[in-house]
Amino acid sequence: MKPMTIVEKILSRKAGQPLYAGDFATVPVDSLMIHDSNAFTTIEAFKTFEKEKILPGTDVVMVMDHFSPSSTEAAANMHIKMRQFRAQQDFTLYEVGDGVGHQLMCEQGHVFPGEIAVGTDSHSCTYGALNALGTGIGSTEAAGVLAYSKIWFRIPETICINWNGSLQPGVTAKDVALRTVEKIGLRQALYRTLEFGGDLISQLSIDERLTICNMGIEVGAKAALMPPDSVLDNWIAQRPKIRKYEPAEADKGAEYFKEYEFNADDLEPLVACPPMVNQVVPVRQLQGKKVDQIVLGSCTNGRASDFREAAKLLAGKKVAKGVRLVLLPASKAVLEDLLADGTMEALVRAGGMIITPGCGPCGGYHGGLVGSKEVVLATTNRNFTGRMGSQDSELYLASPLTAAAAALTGIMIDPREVC
Amino acid sequence: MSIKTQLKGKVHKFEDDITADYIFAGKHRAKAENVLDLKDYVFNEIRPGFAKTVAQGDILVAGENFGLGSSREHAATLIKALGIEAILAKSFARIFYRNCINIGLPVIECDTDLINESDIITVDLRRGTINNLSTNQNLNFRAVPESLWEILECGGLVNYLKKIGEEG
Repeated sequence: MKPMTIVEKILSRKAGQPLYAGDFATVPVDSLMIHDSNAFTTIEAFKTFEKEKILPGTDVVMVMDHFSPSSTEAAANMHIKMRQFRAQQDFTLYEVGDGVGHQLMCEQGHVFPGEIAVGTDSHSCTYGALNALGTGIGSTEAAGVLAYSKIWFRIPETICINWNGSLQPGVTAKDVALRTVEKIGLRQALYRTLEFGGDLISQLSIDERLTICNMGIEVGAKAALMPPDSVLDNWIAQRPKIRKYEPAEADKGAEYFKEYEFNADDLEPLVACPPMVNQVVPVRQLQGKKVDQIVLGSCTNGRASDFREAAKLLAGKKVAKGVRLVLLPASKAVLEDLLADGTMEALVRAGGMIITPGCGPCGGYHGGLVGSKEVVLATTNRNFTGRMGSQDSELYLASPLTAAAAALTGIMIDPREVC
Repeated sequence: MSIKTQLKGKVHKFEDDITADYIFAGKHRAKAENVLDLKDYVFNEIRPGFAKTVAQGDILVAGENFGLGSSREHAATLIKALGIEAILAKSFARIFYRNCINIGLPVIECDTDLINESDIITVDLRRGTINNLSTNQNLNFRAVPESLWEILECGGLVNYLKKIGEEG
């Protein structure tokens, strides 16, 4: 049989026949995540199928993360609609404050290697860090999965990205993600999938891999997949729920649309400048630029290890005068870990404000929107004009370490100068 | 429900890399439960007052990578709800493209450099032809793939899946 990429292998197994880039297939879906911003439309669309129950076979998860706690009366009513749907149907509902859907899908055991996991959110590509085909879909399509437990895909071409070398002190997985977006650009991966490999990836923790795959959509990719290994198996073994899984590795000789070789040895702390994620420069080029707000957290960089990195700089010190530090843990479980080990106490004593685990201000929902001419440095994934509030605010993206350095000094600064 | 294959309308032209956030910003989502009540916010940030300039049958024309970023289907739904009957772009972000097909809004990949703001154009979706009545220029495009056309023809994914049932 002709050698396969990871995505070709996952889709071929699910379809029960060999498939290659360009083919179309309808395949069963292992898990589906629907969040509060799209649940109303999904539930209404599901009703039009005139089916009493959602079809078993897909692990269905609904999450209240985008407006959580409810930011408006309408948001509260959308949450009520989700609870009412849960009263009629069998699926997992995560409540206000439980966390961001992507984090819950991974940490609570809804996504496993070799599986197909779709979500009504473009950052569903995050699941690729767990060797799962994770991809974003719309709310009507989610209703189709509820009714039929299947979905159609065009098998995508794959861009192979090998990261070798090691992360130097002060340089993080976020910098790897930003450099990847800069090099691939906003459009090259449209209708295509990324497959990461190389020595660096195997050295990274699952938290770090999730950060990199989370940003796969920023180059337009359908999915961002990483190979399975023992680090992943050990991480999966600690999930509260586990189902049998079959990881998918690329075959030797698999056909790629393009292959890139990047080296982390000379990587430095980076920042994505507004208004597009590929506008990446070393933070030292912006050194001295004043910031008004720092957002530390989100589905990109809101895991316990991210906050611990930031606390290395901030514990026992104070946030610079005039700077607001918003702490946005990716989940309640993450927050509890950080409360238990004293990290959150240190960050709050330094001047941080904890907001409810969820999406917070990232998509412009609530919990720290900014005003005219304000400058934000966030560890989130998008910096489009007006995304976090005012149309003439400026939104920069960086690592938790770079964000902590800015919180401490009130300016953009290479974190290695602050360590 | 079937879909119109012969379109004629006024062009609203946009550039490259228009994000789903620019089409419909997340900060407006929780202002009403039903997104259809939020039509006035379409392109509100980058082209204030846009919703009032659209008439039924108008056609949206853009450059590369239209609809990038968010998976929010509201972006497609609201464009359609305003009366836009097709989107022409050099390329589309894949989730946005898929959402349009799924809600029965025709999306066409073609060279859009020769189409200007406010031009009146006709589009034949099946034959793959565009006639720019304002400039007297004709353009061809590769028709939507057959498997996607079947979804469009039903008016979207819900009707399509109901038609083909469990076998799909």
